[in-house]
Amino acid sequence: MSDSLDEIQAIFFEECAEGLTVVEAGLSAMAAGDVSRDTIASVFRAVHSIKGGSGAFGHAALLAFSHRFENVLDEVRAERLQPEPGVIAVLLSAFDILSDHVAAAQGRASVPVDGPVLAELERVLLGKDELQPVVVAEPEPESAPVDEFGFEPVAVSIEDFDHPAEAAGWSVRFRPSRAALANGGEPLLVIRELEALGARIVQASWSGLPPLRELDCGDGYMDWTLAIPGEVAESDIRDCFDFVASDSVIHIDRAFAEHDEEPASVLPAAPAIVPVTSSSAPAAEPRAASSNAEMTIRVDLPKLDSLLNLVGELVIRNSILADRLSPADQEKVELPQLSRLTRQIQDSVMSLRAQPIRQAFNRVPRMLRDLAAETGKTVRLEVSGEATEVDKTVIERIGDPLTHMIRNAVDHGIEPADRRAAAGKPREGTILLSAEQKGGRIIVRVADDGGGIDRERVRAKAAQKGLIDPDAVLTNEEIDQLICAPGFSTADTISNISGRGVGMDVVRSNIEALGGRVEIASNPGQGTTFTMILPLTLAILDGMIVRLGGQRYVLPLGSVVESVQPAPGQVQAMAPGHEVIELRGQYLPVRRLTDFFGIRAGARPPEDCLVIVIESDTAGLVGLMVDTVDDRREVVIKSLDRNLHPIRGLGGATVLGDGSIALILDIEAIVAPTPRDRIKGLAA
Amino acid sequence: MSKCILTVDDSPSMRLLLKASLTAQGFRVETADDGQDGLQRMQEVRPDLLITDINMPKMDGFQLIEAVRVQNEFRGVPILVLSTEFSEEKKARARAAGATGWITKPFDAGKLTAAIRKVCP
Repeated sequence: MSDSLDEIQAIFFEECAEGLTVVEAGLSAMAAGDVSRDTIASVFRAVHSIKGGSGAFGHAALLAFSHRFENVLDEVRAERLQPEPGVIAVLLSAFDILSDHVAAAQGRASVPVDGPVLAELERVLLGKDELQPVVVAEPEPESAPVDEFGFEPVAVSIEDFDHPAEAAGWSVRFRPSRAALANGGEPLLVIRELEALGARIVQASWSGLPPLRELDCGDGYMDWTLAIPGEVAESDIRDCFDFVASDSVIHIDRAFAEHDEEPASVLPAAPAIVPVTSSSAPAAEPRAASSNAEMTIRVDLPKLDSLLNLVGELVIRNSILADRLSPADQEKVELPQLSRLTRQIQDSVMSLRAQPIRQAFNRVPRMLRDLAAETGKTVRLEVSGEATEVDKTVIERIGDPLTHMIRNAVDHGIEPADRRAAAGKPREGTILLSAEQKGGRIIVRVADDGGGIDRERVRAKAAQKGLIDPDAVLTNEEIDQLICAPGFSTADTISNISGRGVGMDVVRSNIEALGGRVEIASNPGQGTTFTMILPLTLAILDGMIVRLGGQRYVLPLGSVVESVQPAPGQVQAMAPGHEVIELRGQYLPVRRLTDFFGIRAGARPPEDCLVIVIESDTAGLVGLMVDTVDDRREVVIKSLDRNLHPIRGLGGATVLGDGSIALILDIEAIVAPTPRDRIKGLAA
Repeated sequence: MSKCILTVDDSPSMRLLLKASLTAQGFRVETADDGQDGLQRMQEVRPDLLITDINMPKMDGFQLIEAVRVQNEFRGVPILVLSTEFSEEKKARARAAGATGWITKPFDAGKLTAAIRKVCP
């Protein structure tokens, strides 16, 4: 070394002295009430630099202490920890110890006893955590990969082949992206590093090379496949790709050993999805904690979406073939096999879009802390089923409704601590947030143990707002539903939190836009549960093709119970426009879909029609009268253009096998009483 | 001829430490005090590798990387970021600006050399 280390150290200690001055000034300002972002940031940065230098110069005790100190400051900086007087007092005593540590590192003093202060720092961090014990552990800064770039990954796992490590080597495919080359990455160095692990190139493919004229020397065209001995740890292989831009192709697979008794299947099973790192714990763990069985590649979302679209087209082409070929010809060209394969591809692609709902749940703890600070109500959060996988679109759109429900639960549901104590409940409220998959649906629940819906107040408010007649006779459930009525708000005083002009009606319409629905269950004195029921997938629907006035429509098969060919007299009119069908001694309301949509096809006698009995969420069992049923098939849902005026009862469109368009029926909207019926009609 | 590394950091001790440890590894090391200085030194030194801090006065590391990357002659020069910052957002920004890789402070000689070997033959 050219400069003596002692000289450099001396300069480092000068910087430490400067840093300590900044920390002291900043903390004093904070104690005096200046908790501005800049002040907090200056303190954080100063401690951060001291930590940085202490590591480089090998002052372990100083490094350890400044690291813990910095953790707490980071929480304050990120506004996860409120800089209350108590917290600032702890920070000030930590400053004292930090000064002592610096002095000790310089040899001017002995290493201070920092245990009690460390415990205080720990306590401050824990105090923050008490609000929400389920928070996902933040990645320790020191354990974060040294040189990993942030990127929102879509993780795909390839099943563990369950072979002992030595049985099969690794097969690594590498194709650097344009971005990797543009940032000065050198593929040759990556390959050399892999070779140092024992890799040899099995194949170098230049098939992607364009003609010379079109060659762009900034782009990546080469594609390498390398074989690496099985005993090399996957993390070591991954390390070689540290600096390679994440949109490059990097496949790391356990290659099959040749003597394997089972060639598995030609197609590997549909890949399971690995929980993707969430926003609060970004990209850190996959590599750090990588077992050698789990592998991920990163794919840009637009690529996935375009794949999904293409597969949708493929499904449609398949049904066109099925329509046009006779069964014998279908056999001849092996169409059934092709169809099966297509379905498998479709399932796999759908599963690629699935993400753990944790991503949507992640922001809840933070929100609860904010709410706790605003309302003074402490709330414990319990989360379950956060690994449940749902379509990415659902995760994106469920955020706002979820936020609103949680706000609602804290603001209106959970009572102030004193009132809770008086009612014999724990002073701390509890909110349960859960997700589960049930059949083809995802159920998300937000349950609080608060006071439940105050039905008298809701009723009074609704009457006051003219939503119901004051003397209407309403069931409890009907009163509960009122809070979802447009423009309804129960807050006595407009609080900071709720009462922002967005009500439960918006939550309801958001969820309904996703093809889901919201249910409310409330027990006076015991709490309220909001349940969101969402479709598992947004793109494919198992449908029944029905005819109305010569046109074909798709009815979601999920809600169909049975179809009935009515005998003469089985369908009776109770009042004009109100028909019922008698089914095994039970009377069910019947709706003529032609009437509903105003299709003028001439009224057919019921016995020439079919009644499809469906089970709806809002109206129970209802018969829908259609002309006839054509077929049953999976359809690809295409949304209706936004420019089209929304028509009640239509949920989308699809392309049928013969290339014609069929509209998809929205059963809930058809059977549900219209909003006016639901509210005003109740009073009738 | 040994490879030349330009290190940009506003902390004198960090500059000296980097220079000392990299020189010991057989590199030629030049230093700059901040982004602006670094950009100018790039022209004079034409290094094989640029290592820069992020939080610096005058011109920060992101701006420096961008300013270097847009110059044709520096398009292929690997750039490593050496910073106490480790947030994913910062890393993504550095990547977008054109950084090749990232080393988090505190670093040790082994970590530093391993990272350099990844980008500079």
